[in-house]
Amino acid sequence: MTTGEAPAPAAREAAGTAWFGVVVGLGAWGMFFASLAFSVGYLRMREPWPLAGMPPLPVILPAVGVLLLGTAGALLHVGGRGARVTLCLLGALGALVGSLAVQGFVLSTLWSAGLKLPQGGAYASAVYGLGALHGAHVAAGVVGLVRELVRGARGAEVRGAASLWALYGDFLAVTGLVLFAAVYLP
Amino acid sequence: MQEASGSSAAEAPRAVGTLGLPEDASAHGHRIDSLLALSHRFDFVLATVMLGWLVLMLWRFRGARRVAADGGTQRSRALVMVAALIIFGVVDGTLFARSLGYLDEVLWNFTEPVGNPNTVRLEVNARQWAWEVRYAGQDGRFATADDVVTWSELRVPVGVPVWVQLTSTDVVHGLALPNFRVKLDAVPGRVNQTWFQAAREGTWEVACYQHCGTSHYKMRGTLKVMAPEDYAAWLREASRQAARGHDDSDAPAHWGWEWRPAP
Amino acid sequence: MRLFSTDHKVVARQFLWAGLGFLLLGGLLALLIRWQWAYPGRPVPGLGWVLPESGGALTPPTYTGVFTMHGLLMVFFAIAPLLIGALGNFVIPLAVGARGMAFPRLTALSFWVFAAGGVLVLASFGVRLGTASAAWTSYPPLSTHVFTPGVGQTLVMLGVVCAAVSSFLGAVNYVVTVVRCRAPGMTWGRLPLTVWGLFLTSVLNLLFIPVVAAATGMLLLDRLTGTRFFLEGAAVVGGGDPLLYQHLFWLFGHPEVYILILPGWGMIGDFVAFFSRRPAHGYRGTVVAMSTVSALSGLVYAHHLFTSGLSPMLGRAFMTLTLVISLPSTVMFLNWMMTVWRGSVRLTAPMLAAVGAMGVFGLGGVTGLALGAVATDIPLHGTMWVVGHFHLTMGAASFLAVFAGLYFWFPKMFGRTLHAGWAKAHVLTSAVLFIAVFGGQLLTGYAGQLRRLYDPYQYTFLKHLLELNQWTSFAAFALGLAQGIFLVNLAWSLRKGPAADANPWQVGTLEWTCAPSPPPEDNYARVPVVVRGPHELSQPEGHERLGRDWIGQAELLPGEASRAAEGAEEPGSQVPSAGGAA
Repeated sequence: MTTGEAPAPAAREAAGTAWFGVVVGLGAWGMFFASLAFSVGYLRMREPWPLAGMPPLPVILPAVGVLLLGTAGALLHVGGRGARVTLCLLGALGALVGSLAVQGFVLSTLWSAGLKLPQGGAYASAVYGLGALHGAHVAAGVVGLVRELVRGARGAEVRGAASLWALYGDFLAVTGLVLFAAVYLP
Repeated sequence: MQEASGSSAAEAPRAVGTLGLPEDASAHGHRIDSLLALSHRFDFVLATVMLGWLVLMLWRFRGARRVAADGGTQRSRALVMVAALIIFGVVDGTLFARSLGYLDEVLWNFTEPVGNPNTVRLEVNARQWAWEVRYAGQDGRFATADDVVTWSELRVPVGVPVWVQLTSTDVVHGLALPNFRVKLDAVPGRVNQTWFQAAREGTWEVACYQHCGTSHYKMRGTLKVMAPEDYAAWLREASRQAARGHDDSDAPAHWGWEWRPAP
Repeated sequence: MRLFSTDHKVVARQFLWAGLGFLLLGGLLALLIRWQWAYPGRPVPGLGWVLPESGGALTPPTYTGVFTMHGLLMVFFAIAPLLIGALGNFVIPLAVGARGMAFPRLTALSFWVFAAGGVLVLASFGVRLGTASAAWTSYPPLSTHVFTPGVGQTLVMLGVVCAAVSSFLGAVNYVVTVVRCRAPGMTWGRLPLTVWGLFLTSVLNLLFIPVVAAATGMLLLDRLTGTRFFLEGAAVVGGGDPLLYQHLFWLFGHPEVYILILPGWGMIGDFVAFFSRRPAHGYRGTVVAMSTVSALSGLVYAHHLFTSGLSPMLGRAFMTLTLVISLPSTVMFLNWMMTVWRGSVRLTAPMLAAVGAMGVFGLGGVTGLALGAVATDIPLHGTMWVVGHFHLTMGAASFLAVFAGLYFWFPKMFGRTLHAGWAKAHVLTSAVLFIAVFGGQLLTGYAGQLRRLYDPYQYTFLKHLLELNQWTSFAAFALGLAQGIFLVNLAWSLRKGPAADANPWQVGTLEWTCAPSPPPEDNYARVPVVVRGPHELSQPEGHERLGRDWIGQAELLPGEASRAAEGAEEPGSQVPSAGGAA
């Protein structure tokens, strides 16, 4: 049979495909945080927020945490384009760890202020539960960046990876902002 | 329990041998039943035409020599759209309009139980695995000392609206009164409301339709529809006994709430 | 076969074997339920060694575990891996003309995450207090530690999260593969309908799997860490709301039923065209209809909550949307019918399975109408009518679609031919018995029998249904036995089946016309350039110039060279067509 065939394309646009895959995956996984934010909104409609007798929530420190996530994303974008990729990775790693530390500080302060589980009910559940779920995603970012740093130290080219992790940084910042708005803002 | 199953066994012969809906004993259920019957006629016609046409086609065109080589002509594609629209308009349209009629005039229309002075109010609290039913007692108010509480036995008078407020203390249950076309979830933390009206006296069954644990299947109750004067006499006596036996310290027994306004 | 292979065809086979294993287990659990309804409390023959304390009879706790796991296994561990994991992985790259998945390692990962979930679920059967027992929906508060304290429930939920993550990873891969890795000339309008179905399924998976992950995640937090998202009632202060879980669950759960049937719809669309030897009727209309159903699928979910005390406003809105979704479904269905009309029907096993799937799906569709309107939903809600309805659509139709796909692609997967007669016998008996079993459920449901009852005959008004239930159970046992035909045929054909040639069905899609059976590791020695649609059957020019009634999607007719150049210049050809970051 006469079959129309083309030679296998020499240049694979692997980078473009990887970028597209990460965008699709993270965009879709955003539904996870959208569901969490929806849940908090739903629970906030039912009862006073903060719950009577429970400590109110801080705003500034959690906002700093989100800002740090945004910084990490921005640094990774720079690293993905520019030359000083190791520096940018290190900076982003620092920002992520910093944001985790801020989050940890906020939550532990609230805990000692008397916002405890299970007594705190849905209110405390939203603060700690969503904080933990988002924190787990940040921690995954930390592990990923450490891995890229190790690969970079061994001489591998990590700029492409950095630009993909930049998307993840953006994802953390945006979802962090959404949860911040859902939980902490009055 | 013993007595209850005994009395409903007497009702049993009614249902035997039919594959129709459970007998309708409510004042408004016939509207659902006739709509459902109509919808089943639609189902039957659609299913018969569909399966018949399918089998006929397989037989008629099996190994046919002449084949239409197109992916449908403009006319045949238009035909599909028109046919789909007609089926949709007739079947779904009827179902929608008549369902909405029932909802607006009966199910979601609380002006009837609110406006009728004879309306009977019931608070039902579902728990693993029983129905606690609370009647307002002689003072006409809930959460007071003369409230009557029965276990897995609802009593209502015939011919007046029965307004039910329903909740659960533990897991999600579902209050089903199959013979009255009533189904409503009992959800912890919220009070759901519905109403119905019994058309005749007798004893019927109350069932749980949401999986609520190991003994879900045993969460059976009875609904006793009584003559109004019998009901009033029973309530008067039960209320007097309840007031006498009231124990302030028995907190779990005081699950009643102030009657809520209609939704 | 390498265990950690990144070849999509190997991973597809891994999904196939795992899915068939779980199907067998889920099916046996179904037969236990049927036994219980036919002979309540009577010992199940041969089950004494599993349940020594009751002598083989199901007890209420065992029974709740059995029906819970039947549902969960079938939805997450049988239909999804067979229809999407096995057939999706196998077909998508081949049918779009790619040399592999966009992300081969992700392909392998999705299987191994699934396998981990499967192990967790299987382990749950062995722990104290038994496996999960809060129904497949896992409604809290019943599914929280307060009412279901066993570790089995936790294991199963973790297993479900694994299955969900696996589906999500697979969906990312499928979507990217279809968007980025199509062969030159493979425009969206030339994709086989199967690929459309799998693509739309993947989009729905992407959108709604995260929702169930969030709901299950919060539920697990409630179980394990003392949060109170969904726990409310006596002894809970400032608790959450069980209804919130129901909203999240069904926001996923309703699209899930479309997730589990869309690939089947695609296959039906393709197979009725292939085996009527004519192009699919109204290809565009079918694609638009399938896309519309997908778009609407997330907007109808609250019809599962019609009796939950939903506000009249929401009730009205969701009733409208639910009924509207029947319009595109009807268009699609009529297009299938019109494809057969004026075709030349070949009653092969895949065709019979596809037609069977159409039939049971149609029955499931019409029996769902009454459930979509609030008034008629009330007497049927929570009854066996619902069970019969969704078993016809996502049980019978999905499995017949699985068998259709398996019978169709078996020669390509394994390079061997199944015994056609036994395959047809299996499909026909299965279709008839599916209708008998689920039709019996519809009847008992209409008469009022509620779901999930250990002993329905506790209720006086259900006592008379015993005989009907027994007949339904006999049909179910026969259905179980009939699957023996499939297993024997499968085992025999894998070892002794005659070698399959490249294109036994004489159709034009890429996997049959440009690759041998089975295809080599990177599918196509040279990436095909697609020049025509997937259903070019019985075309006059094919008869004239090739002397046969099919034309390959990448096949040039004599003297058609110019079109190839044209095709190469189409936008699609700019897209890389091979597996990406290997």
